[in-house]
Amino acid sequence: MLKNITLGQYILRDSLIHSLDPRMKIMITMLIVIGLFFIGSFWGFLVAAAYIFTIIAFSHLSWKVVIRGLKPVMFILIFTLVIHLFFTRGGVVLFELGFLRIESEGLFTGLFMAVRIMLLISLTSLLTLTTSPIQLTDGLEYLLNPFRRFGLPAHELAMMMTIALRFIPTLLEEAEKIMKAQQARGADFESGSIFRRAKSLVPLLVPLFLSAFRRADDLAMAMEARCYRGGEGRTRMKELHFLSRDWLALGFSASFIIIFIIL
Amino acid sequence: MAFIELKDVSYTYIEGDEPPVTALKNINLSVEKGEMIAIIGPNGSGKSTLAKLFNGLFQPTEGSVSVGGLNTSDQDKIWDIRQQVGMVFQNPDNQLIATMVEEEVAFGPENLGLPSATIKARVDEALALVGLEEFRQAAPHHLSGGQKQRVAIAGIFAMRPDCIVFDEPTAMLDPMGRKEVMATIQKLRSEGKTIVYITHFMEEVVDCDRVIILKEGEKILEGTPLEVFQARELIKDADLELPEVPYLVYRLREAGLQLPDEILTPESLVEKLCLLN
Repeated sequence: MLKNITLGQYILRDSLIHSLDPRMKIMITMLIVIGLFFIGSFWGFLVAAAYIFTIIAFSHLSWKVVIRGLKPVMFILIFTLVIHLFFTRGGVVLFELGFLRIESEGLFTGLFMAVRIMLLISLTSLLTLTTSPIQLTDGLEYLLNPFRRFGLPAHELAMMMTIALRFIPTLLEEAEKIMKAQQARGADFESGSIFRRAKSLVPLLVPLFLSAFRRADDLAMAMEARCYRGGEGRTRMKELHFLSRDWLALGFSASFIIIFIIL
Repeated sequence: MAFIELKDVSYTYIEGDEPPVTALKNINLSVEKGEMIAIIGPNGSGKSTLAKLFNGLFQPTEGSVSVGGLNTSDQDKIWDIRQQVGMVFQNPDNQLIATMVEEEVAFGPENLGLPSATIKARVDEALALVGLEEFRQAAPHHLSGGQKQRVAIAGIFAMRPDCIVFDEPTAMLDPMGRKEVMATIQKLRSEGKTIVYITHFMEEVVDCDRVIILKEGEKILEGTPLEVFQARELIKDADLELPEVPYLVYRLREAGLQLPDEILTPESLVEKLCLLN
């Protein structure tokens, strides 16, 4: 069961958006995110939303998938809206009941914020929906490389991410095995209060950690045996190259950013 | 001079305040190019420690190890040595680094700093050798144990080593996986690679050129499989068992049948038995 989990929320499709260079996708996402903070009118948001829907259309994904990504942040959205409604003052009084008072400024700022968060989340989840974790890691390594001069361990970060991705399924499988072994000896992971359940996880976590350390030891040995000595002097089999479609995507996105900031 | 030479090698584990443990004592050993040697011994005989001496993962406490004339204690040459002597480990899960088979095979060549086109060619070649071309894009955790071990072998092969050390590569595999891995090793042998095969299964040493038996860190026996199988008492002493065929031959001879020594496979046993009548 655990063997078939997919990491991240990547959905494989054959689309223009999927085939873009991951570096370009990350950079565009960052630009748009910054752009979203400069939007000053609802018209701007409308254009930004249109932009996001265009990407969804080009990525051959269903918009429902993107909306689903908003669910976890629903609470934050409502919280932001409510806080602004009742505590931001200014403009005309729209509603008053006892100590509760809603003013127009509060309503506008609240809606503004909520829409902004919604657009931010759907945009970033579009990035992870259309880019596999491996591509993301690769892209990040390339993008962070120039910062190596300032002591940022770009290659090491990417290597850690790769190893984490590689070992998550292995460790999950192992956790399942240990759990079954403990259950066979009468361990109970499913009933009792939260504290009891947390406590019953100890006999699962201890062997899991021990074996993770042993694995780390073995892996380090295997990497050294294969001449791994950090990022210095290392080459890559798959080199990333920007193609014309990447530049087109950048141009398209940049024009959108300019439009929705001006509006 | 032999390709790999161990001279009076001893290895002692020292960990904190615990009493030191001597894993290997005065080992002298040489491996010629193109040879396939087996190192066999029970658990705790020091065979895995010995394996890690061949490419400088461990440095001998006493004595010296040289590979192609280079001493493994020479830190400037250590990467050349590791490129020449590749190593496949016991646990298939703990030696794969990447999330995709082709990336995994490319890992070694990437570390060597080869140009991208060369790496691609080598990955193709290595995957063809182990017969896993159609799994290029697969994630390692979706493969069987035998397939994972073959990916590990491909990863080493892509580095173009002269010698490959196998440290109990079949110990964690099912019989199917064991067969796959053994067949792949035979392929490497026919490619002219020097092979050091470490195991505790006697059956697996039958077609090696030379067998070395370790017991409690000491070399107690060395010879061709035939010679080694004659030393029944020593084998028993080392907590090992004769493979099925030599054992059967031994028992048949005990029972009075006139069988020659050089029988290692079921086929030759059948042939010799038919000649008896």
